[in-house]
Amino acid sequence: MKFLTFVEIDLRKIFPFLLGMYAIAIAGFQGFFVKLASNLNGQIVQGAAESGTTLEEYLKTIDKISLASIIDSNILPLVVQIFVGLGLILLGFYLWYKEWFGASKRIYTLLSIKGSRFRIFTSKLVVFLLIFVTYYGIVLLNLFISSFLVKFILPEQIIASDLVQNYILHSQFLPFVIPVSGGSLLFNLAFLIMMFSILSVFVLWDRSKRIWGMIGGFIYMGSTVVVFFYLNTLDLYTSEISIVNWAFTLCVLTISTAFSYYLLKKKVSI
Amino acid sequence: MIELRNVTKKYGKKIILDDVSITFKKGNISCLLGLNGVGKSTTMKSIMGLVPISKGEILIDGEQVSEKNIDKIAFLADIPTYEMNRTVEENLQFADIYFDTFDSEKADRMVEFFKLPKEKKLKELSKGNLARFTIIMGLSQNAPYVLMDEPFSGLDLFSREAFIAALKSDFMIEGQTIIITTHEIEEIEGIADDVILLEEGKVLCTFSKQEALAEGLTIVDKMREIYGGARV
Repeated sequence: MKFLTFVEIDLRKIFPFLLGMYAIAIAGFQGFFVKLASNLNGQIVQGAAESGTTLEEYLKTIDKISLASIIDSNILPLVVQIFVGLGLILLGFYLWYKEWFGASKRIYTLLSIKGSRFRIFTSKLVVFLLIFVTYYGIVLLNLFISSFLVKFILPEQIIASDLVQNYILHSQFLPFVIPVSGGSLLFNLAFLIMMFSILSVFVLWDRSKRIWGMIGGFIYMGSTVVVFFYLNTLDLYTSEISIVNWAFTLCVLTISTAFSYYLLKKKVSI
Repeated sequence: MIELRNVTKKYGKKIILDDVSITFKKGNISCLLGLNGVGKSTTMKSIMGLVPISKGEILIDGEQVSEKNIDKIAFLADIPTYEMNRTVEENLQFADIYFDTFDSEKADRMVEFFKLPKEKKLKELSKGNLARFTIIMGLSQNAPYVLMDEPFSGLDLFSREAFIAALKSDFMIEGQTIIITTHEIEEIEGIADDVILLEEGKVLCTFSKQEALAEGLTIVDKMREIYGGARV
C-alpha cells in the first residue's frame, strides 16, 4: 500500500504536465497529418485534372493510399512525437532529481519511513515506466485517429485497408518512436530502466560524495553513452547488434541498479 | 533510550562530530544545545540515518537504528518536509498511509486544538501554523522517540508557547522521549529534563535539571556558569 502511495503521489504531481504533453502530442500529430493528407488530396485532384479523365477513372489508376505513404513521406508528425518523448524523458529525470535537490525536502520523510529505502527508487521507476507506456498508447491513439480522419480527407476508394496494422508492420520510421513488436517493447522497457538506473547512480553518488560524487556520476553516465555508441558503430549483423544491445543494457542495468541500491541504503546524506 | 557511542562524522577532512557519546534517557525531554555549526543537526540526522556516520554506533533500545526500527523515531526537521502544494488534510491522509502508527484521530484533535485550517495548502500557512502542523505530524506518529531540530526557529512568541504547551499536553504518549536541538536556551527552561552542550563537535557538558536545581541554579544559570557568562 505504501509503495502504491509513493507512486500515486508522484503521478498526481506530474499529471497536469503529462496531460499537457499528451495534448501537444495529439494536436501536433493530427495537425501535421491533416495538412499532409490534404496536400495529397490536392495532388490527386490536380493529377486527375491534368490526366483529362474523370476523377473516378483517375482514382482507378493510382495506388491505394496507406498511412505509411502519408506519414513516412514527411515525418513531421513523428518528429512531434519524438520531441514529446524527449520531453517525457526529461520529466522523468526531473522527477527523480528534484526529490533530492528541490526546495521541498520531502525526501526526509521518505527516508524516515519504516521499510526498505529502495522503495523510493522503485516507485520512481514505476512512474517513469508508466509515463512511457502511456506515451506509447498516445502514439497508437494518434494512428487510430489518423486512420479515422483520413477517410474524411481522401476519396474512400483509394484508402488501403487495415491502416493502423499495416503502418505498424511496414513503417520505416515508427520504430524510432515506439516499439513495434513484443521483443522491441521488452528491450525498450529494459533500456528505460537502464537509463533511470544510470541517472540514479549520478544523483545518489552526488548526494553521497558531493563534488567527487558528481564528477564520478558524470564520468559513469558519459562512459555508458560512449560504450553504447561504440557498440552500435561495430560492423555486425542485425541479429548480433540485437544481442550486443541486450547484453549491454542488461549489464549496465544490473550494475547501475546494484550501485544505486548500495548508495541509497548506505551512503546517501541529506 | 537512544545511545550514541563514540560517534564521529566527517565531511571530507572536516570533523563535524568528534567521538561523541550521548545517552538520551527514556521519558525525558533532552535538549541538545550549542552555537550554530557545532553538530546539533548532524547528530539528529545521524540518529535518523539521514547522514551516515564515519565511526561509532547509534542504538535505540539496545539495537542499531535501521530501516526496520526507524519507526520508533519521529523526526521533525528544521525545514518543511511535507507536500507543500497539498492541504493540511491531504498531508495527514498521506501520513496515515506512510506511518503504521499514525493516529489520525489524535491528529484531528490536534488540528482542532491548534485551530489549523485543514483545507489550506501548506504553502499558504503562516510560519507559526506550519510549525504547529509539524508538531502535529510528529506527535501523531505516536513514536516513542521524537527528534525536533530547531523547532523554535523563526517562531513568534505565541507560536513558541503553543509549541511548548503541546509538549506538556495529553497529546504526548506515556514515556515519550523528546530530543530538541536549539540555541534558544530560554525556551527550554520550563521543559528540559536533561541538557547536553555541544561545542566544536564534542560534548562539552551534560547535566540534568535536577542537578542544576540542586546547585540552586536554573538551566540558564548553569549554562552561564559553564560558558563563563559570556557566550549565552
